[in-house]
Amino acid sequence: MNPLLEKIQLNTRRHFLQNCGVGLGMGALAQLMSPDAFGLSAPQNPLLPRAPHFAPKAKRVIYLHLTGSPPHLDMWDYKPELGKRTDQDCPDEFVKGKKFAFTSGTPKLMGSPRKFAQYGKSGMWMSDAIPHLHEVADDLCVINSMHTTQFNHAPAELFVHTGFQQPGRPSFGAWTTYGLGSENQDLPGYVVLISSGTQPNGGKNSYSAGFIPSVYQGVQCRSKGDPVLYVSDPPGMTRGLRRSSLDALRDLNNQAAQKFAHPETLTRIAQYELAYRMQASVPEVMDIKKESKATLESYGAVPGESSFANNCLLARRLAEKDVRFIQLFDWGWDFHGTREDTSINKSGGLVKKCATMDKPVAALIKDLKQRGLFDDTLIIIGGEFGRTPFREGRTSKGQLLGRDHYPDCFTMIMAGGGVKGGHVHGASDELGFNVAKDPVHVHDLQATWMHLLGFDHEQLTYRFQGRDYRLTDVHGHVVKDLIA
Amino acid sequence: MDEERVILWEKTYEKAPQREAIESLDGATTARFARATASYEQNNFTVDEAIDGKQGQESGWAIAGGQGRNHYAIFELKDPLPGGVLNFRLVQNYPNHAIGKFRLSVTNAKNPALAFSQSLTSILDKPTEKRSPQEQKQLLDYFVKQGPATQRIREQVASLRNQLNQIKPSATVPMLKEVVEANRRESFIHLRGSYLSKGPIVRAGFPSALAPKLKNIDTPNRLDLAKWLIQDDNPLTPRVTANRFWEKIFGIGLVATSEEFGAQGELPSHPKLLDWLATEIVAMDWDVKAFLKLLVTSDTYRQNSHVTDEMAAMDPNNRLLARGPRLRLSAEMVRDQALAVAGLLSSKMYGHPVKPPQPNMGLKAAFGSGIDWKTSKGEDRYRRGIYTTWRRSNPYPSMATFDAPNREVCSVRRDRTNTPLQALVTLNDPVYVEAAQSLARAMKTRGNSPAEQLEKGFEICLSRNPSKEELDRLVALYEEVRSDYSKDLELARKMATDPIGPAPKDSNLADLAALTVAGNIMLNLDEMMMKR
Repeated sequence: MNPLLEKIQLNTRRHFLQNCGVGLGMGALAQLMSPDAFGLSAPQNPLLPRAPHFAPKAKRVIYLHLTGSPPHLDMWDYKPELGKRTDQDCPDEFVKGKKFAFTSGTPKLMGSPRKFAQYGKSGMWMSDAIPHLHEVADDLCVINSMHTTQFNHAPAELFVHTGFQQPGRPSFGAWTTYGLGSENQDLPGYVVLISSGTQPNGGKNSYSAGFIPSVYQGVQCRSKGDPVLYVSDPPGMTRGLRRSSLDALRDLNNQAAQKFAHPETLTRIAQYELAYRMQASVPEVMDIKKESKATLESYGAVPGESSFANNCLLARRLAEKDVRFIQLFDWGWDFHGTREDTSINKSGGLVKKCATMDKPVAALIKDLKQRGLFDDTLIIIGGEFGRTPFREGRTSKGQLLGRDHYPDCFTMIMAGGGVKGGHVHGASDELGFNVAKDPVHVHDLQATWMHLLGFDHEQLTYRFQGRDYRLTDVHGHVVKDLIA
Repeated sequence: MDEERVILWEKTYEKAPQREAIESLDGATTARFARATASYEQNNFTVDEAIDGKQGQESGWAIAGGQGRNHYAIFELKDPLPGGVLNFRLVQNYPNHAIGKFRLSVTNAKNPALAFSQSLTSILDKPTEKRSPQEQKQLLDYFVKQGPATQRIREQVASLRNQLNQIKPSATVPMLKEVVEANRRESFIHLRGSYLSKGPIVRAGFPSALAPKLKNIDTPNRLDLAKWLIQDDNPLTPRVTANRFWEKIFGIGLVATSEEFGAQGELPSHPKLLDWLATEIVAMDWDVKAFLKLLVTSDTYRQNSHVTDEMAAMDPNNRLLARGPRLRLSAEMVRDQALAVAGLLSSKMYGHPVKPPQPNMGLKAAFGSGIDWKTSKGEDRYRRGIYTTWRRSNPYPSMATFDAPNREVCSVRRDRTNTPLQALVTLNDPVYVEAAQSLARAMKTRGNSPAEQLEKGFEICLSRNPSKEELDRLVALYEEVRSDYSKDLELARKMATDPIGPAPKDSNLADLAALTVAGNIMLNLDEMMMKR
């Protein structure tokens, strides 16, 4: 083949657009943000703060993921008609042709055993399982018309966090730090806190950087052991000795920098200094002992423990230090009713589990407001899908009440940065099976999150294996009604 | 003994008897047969079973399908009989198949003829030209497998095969075996993605745009694909392959998007060079070692990697190759190199993945067991990074920090970042602390003065001698921390022994601890992390 002809043929319109400097989408920004993606040099710190596409409503995110998915019909979405029809056979139209995780045949409808009432100036319906959140009703934006495509935990969770049901894509937190960098170089930009002893369903994939540089992956911080992996000096190393040895390292590396004049050497010197500072700042921010007794009590946090309450308090401390993305995962919200602690009976597991959540979350909202952090912090609360309006099949003969996984209609909650307070968006039908008004797909919600952070979700992309990827895959529309 | 407990029969053995031995009271011995052949054998009741020592109705010679005809069997003894009276016992289990007329013949010929099967005699009765190919094959089979003329070759084959079986495999490798055509699963298009609604059957194929030649083959198999991959008029495979090796050596491919040579990828920076390399790798018969040698002995690779400001401004990523490459090692290499210079790295190959030290997280995987593991013992603790157990939902943390992909999606090319968390790994991860401790012990034995020891350590790590300034700085660090450790020997003991284990007898803990700190710094030098 004629090599000249071949070159012309290979020169597609895409190359032309890239070459003439117009760029497609975020070509130029992508290059700027992943300085070492193609090459040898890392002239810039990839976590330096960057401006988004337009003025953001929120600067940071606190994402409270209730792993397993709470029963939204017993907490947020009040369905009196469903209550009247409790124990009736579920109409065929709602189950025919659908697959459920643990239910087959004709299940029985089940209204909530919880009591609902209206709270706040907005008159928001909430159940008595979450009494502390009644107090902050006017700060919450409740979406009762969520729907997703996945009905099993791991894919649904990955879908919410990465926009795709299979592992391997960058998570929302990774996209956020990739797009915005971090305002505090002494702490990781994307911090993950895990409570109730079990990882999220997707393991580290639920907070990974996928195929974008690993510097954007979530860093798990812990209240026991090393707060961040390897942040503690080894046994026998004091802070003073560490300082002395790092001074020597810096001097030696400076000699290398002079010899090779390689920009990455200078970056490395800087990274070791950052690491040294991180060794001090991470344990400090993770230590809640210095919080006042009143604050500890308001969250229900106990120093030295590992709990969702402690993690909520830590979230505020990290937000205060300008950490960009704070991701909490709390295990144990999978209310099938197979055991006492996963039942939603009157005094069953739901009340106990909610007590570990609603108090710290209400305290977090109040605390952020009091410290002036509420308005530019986007708070997200929810699971990976909803739960069925009928009783789960496996447990239908027992005493314990439970609900199966349900993707077609569920509730997510937002608060803070740029989000309408005291607002209920969308509605389910009278039995809670389908979205009746203003549906919000997971990709729509993700597009809205990106918008609140100042990004056009279609423009924040990363090229991998020849394709520009984004959080919302090829979908998503910003839901303007959620934005203040 | 009889009922009165009077001894009737007694025999003393010179050797302990075999597990099972039959003794006859009158001193008779049982003849053992080495081989049996017969003119006819029923399926599953071959004549071999008449001499296999097993009793009962399930083991014996039978002739179903051949009733009413003459049959004979020849039994060869294993060892010659001493002489005397021969007793024969005939057991017939099936009355319908009982022998009508029975005759016994005995010979003392050394190699008695073998029984000739009826089916063969019937073939031999035909004139040669009337035998069907199948019948000819039957005769040939007999000649090869049983004919006396091939006996010697058969024995040779058996002995060689026996030798071959003696050679134990040094490693087992999982094998992929193709399912025979008839047993293959049928695959369908699932309509609208539902596994319940099956559409038309689909078969293995290959995009015809990529490989037009494969289009003419009805159902191309892996062999066809493999042949297409490396056939002479397919330039893609050698280009892609050459580019990947180039990327490994130079840090960036001639086509920067080494995973994507299509319209979505970048054009090559040096198209002619790429084509030349592609033809070279084919000319070398795909010899990877020779090809890598070609790359690393090139003038381009051996250039100085010093970057001038001008170069950095004009060509920050060295796409024009005006200087030698300088790039950070991969996650696995960073770890393996630290273990190697410390003298800890195990060169053991193959086998199951191992579990080097990793921090306990105290967490369970969702619907699974704990994610913590028990560290492997012995040299498995120090195996190369590629042997590390990899759980995709929980990749080995220190490698994930150094940009090892989590292996959820195929990654041809890795990013290389430079972060404070990486610094924390190589400073504090017990794997690296242990390496520093081991390096310290090695240094201690390689010189008399601290300066000599540090010089040696530096040389082990960087394969070059330190400059005077470098050595002076290391000695200054050594003196400074040594004076601290000599005031607190418990602290020194921790630094020098946790986690590697007790210090050698009579060693000076302050010295060892100071060398450990110096070793820790050497393992963190920029030059350690970078290949140039």
